[in-house]
Amino acid sequence: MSKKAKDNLWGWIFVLPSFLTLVVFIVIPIIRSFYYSLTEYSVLSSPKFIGIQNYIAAFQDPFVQASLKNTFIYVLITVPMQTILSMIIAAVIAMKFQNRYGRFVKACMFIPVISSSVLVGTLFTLLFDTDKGIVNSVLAVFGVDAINWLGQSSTALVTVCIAAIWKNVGYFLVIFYAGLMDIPTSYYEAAKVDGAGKIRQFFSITLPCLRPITYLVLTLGIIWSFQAFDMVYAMTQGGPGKSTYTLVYTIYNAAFREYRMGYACAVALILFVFILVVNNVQRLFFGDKED
Amino acid sequence: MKRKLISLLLVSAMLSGCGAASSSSSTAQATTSSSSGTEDFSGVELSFWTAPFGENDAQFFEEHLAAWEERTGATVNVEVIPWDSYEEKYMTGVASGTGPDVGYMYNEMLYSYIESGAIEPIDSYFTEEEKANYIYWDNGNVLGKQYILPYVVGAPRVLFANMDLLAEAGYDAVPTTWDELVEVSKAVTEKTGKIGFDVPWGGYFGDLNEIYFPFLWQAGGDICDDEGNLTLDTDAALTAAEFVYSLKTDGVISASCVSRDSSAVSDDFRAGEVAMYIGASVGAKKNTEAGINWDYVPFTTNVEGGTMVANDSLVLMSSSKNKEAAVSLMKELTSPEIMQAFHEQCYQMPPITTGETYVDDAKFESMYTEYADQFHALPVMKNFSQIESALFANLQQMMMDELTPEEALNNTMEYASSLG
Repeated sequence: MSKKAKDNLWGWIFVLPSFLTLVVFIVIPIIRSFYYSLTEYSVLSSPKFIGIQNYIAAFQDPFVQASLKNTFIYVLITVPMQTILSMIIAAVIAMKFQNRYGRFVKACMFIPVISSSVLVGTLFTLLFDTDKGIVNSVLAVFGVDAINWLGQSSTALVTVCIAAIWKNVGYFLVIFYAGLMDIPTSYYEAAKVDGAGKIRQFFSITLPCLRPITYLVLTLGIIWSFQAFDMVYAMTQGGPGKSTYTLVYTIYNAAFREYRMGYACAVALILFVFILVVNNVQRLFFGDKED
Repeated sequence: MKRKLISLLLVSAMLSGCGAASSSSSTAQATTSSSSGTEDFSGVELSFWTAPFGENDAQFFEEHLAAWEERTGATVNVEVIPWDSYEEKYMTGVASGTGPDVGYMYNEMLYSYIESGAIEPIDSYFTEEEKANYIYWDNGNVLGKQYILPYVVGAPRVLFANMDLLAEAGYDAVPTTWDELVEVSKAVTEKTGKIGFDVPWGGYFGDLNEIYFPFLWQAGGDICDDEGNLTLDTDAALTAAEFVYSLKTDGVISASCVSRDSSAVSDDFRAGEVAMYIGASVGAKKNTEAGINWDYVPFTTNVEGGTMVANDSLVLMSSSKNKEAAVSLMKELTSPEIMQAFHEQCYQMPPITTGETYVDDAKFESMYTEYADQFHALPVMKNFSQIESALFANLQQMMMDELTPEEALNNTMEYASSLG
């Protein structure tokens, strides 16, 4: 065996475990999901091929239509908010509190990340309770009438988004903080010599240097938000009406409550395509500089 | 009509059941010993899946099945699955071939399993004498065959009232009609400052059992006809929806009802903040423990009376490798001794066999004999879960003034017909 062939063989051997893991846990399930999406399949009996009927039904289904709309709104609210908030808090800690207080704040901000979603959902349900919630009590001090946060279409999704943002900010904060620590202090010293103020430094040094980190945070944020399920499950069960139905919640209902696994696979693949498209648009926007 | 007929049979069966309760211990003994006489299932392993009814169901069943295990040589693995993941776990278990031999199921689950052949008919495994011991045996005949063994039957959704609050408002009896309900609720709110009557519209579709279906039956309607066709486009369905909607627009129920789930409402009842609510009769124990001076009526009446009653069951899975042993386990689980202990220790319900003594709340005993023909179980029909989801979502929108009662029902009918 030539040296090149030997090298190739070793290469394959090293790659094989990851390759097999990918094939077994990702590639095969995607292919199977695609197949099931073309069938009427309840899991309890054999799949029956029905072509693209599940896809046609999905786009006509009022629950899927509401889910699509709600999921996009959810992404549009949570992703920018959690990105901006985590970046600002990380920048403030990096600039002003690189001490035990900063570490304490970071630890506190990370607690929601490791908390159960059901717990966070229940907590926010209590906070935003119409009659006994703290939020309405505080608003009442300022003369604002009680808001039925989770009981009206116009505010239910926003309330779920607030809970999700609160839960996620700590995670992205840590990522941003690590990115901030990687920016050489000499850049700031040079800018200071040139007379740049704090705000100018932030926009001309911090933001550009955080570009790869921001790309990562946005990518993760978008994917997580498209997969929104747990908060909805814990707080609203998709209601009131269809106002907080998300795509993953609809997939869950179709698969496990309605025994329509084929249909659920079709909606899941629609979601997969959306995430793929949005992610590629994002890549175009950020170019290759994130590398 | 068919269900009404079954209900009428139920009444007579219930009458005989309750009447025989005090003198039937010998029958119970005979049932148990006849099923135990020649059974030998040495080495057989069975699994039994159930949802949690009491505080420690697994321990309860392990203790109470020990004698049967010793007698037959079989062993039983009891798995108690939380309510919120019950259907999910059941479906994945059955699909992956790791499902139970005997399982607990509620009506909403049945159709898909029966249609796919996952549940075995049980008629041939029971003698006529054994069948006669089950008060609700006929309820187990669904989709044309005896697929299920009625197991948790009862817990009708009744109207509970805090009699102290009603007395403060000048009333000494629980309202029995829709008009009285509205009148008493308004009076309670006016004179005590508490919520007169509350309905949880912020939960999930299962709450329809308390917040819409009872009113539908009371308006003279039904969920579906004898052929299994959805009947939410009837005048009765509309009357019920309009009444439910008027409870909100007239200020009878709390304005925040769309964000309140059933626990919030029952907790507020137990805290003395709500005077009346509709809930499962099993909630009576907690009401008493909370120190509430409560009374109830089975239902309020409009055109007629009616409310929802549980008709949950044990099923024999087709995949069971030891069906004889599994059926024997079903018989043991529903034996008078175990059922009576189950009703005493885990879940207060009326007897399901003629050999049991009534151990549910004494206040409910007469209800089961007087009103049984007005108790309705949920139908076993195709796509019922989807229809319930859609109906709940549409009625929620109605409660938020986004749809009229007519639109809410029409949307549901359209959605149901789109499912095929």
